[in-house]
Amino acid sequence: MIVAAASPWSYVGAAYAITFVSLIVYAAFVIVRGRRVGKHLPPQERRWSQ
Amino acid sequence: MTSPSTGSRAGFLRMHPDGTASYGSRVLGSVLLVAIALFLLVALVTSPPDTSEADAMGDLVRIMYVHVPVAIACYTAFLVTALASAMYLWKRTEGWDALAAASAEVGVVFTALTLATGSIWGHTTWGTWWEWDPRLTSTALMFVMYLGYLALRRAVIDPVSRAKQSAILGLVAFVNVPIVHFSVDWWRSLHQKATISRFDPAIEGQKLFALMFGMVLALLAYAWLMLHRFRLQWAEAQVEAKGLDVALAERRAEARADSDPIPEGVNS
Repeated sequence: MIVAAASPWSYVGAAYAITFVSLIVYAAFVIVRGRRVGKHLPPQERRWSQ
Repeated sequence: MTSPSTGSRAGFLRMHPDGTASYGSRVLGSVLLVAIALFLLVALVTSPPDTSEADAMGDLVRIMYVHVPVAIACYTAFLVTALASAMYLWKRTEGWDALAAASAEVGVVFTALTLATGSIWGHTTWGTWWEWDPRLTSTALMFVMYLGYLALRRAVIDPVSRAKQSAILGLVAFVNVPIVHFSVDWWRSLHQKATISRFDPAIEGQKLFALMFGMVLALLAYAWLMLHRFRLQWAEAQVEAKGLDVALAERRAEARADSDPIPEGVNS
C-alpha cells in the first residue's frame, strides 16, 4: 500500500502543502472578491485607501 | 465605479484602486512573506527531528509546527467573533457585525486546516485518518457550528435581523471552544495533552522555537487575512445597503404613482 510505505517526509510535505496552498488560495479569493465589490463603492467609502 | 490609482507609492507597495489593500496591509503582508520563508527554513531544515523519548516522532514532529499554530489561530478567530458579537448586541453598529462575520469565515478556514493537518498527524501516530475521539469530535462539531453561522448569514435577508441572529449564534457557538481545548484533560483521549503548558513545555530548544515561531506566524497570517476580509465584509454591507436604498426608492416611487389621481384627459 502506497500510504503505508510513505516516508515521514511525505506526510510532513503534505501537511505543509495543504496549509500554505489553502491559505494562499483563500487569500487570493478574498482579494479578488474585494476588488469586485470595491468597484461598486465610491472611493470616499473605502476609508482604508485614503 | 473605479477610482484613480491609490497614492503615489510605486512598485511592490502600489495598490489596486478598487481593492481592500492599504499601505499598512502591504507592509504587514511583506513582513508575513519574509516570516514564512524564515519559518520554512527553521521548521523544515534547522530544527532537529524528535529523538527525546522511546516513542519519539522523528521528522514527523514538524507537522506539529503547523498543526498547533493553525489551531491557535482558529481559537483566536472564534474569540474575536464572540467578542464582536457581544459588542454588536450592545452597540448595534454594523462594524461589529462585519468584524464577527469576517473573523468567523477566517476561523472556519483555520479549523479546516486544523482538521486536515491533525488527520495527517493521526494517520502517522494512531494508524487512522479519523477517530471519534473527544478532541477530534468536538473540533469537527466546532467546524460544523461555524459553517452553520456562515449559512445563517446567507439565509437571512434583512441585515438587522441577520446581524442580531448571527451575534446570538456567534456567542452560543463559542461555548464549544473551551470544550475543544480542555477535552484532552476532561475525557480519556487518544490526542496528546497540551504541548505547551504554562510552566512545563513538552518540547524544548529549537523545536520549541519552531513551534512558537509557527504560532506567531499563524497569528500574523490571521491579522493580515482579517484586514482584507473585514474590509470586504464592510464593502459588501455598504453595497447591500445601497441596493436596498435604491429598491426602497423605486418601491416608494411606484407607490406614489399608484396613489396619485389619474390626470384629466387621460383615458383609462
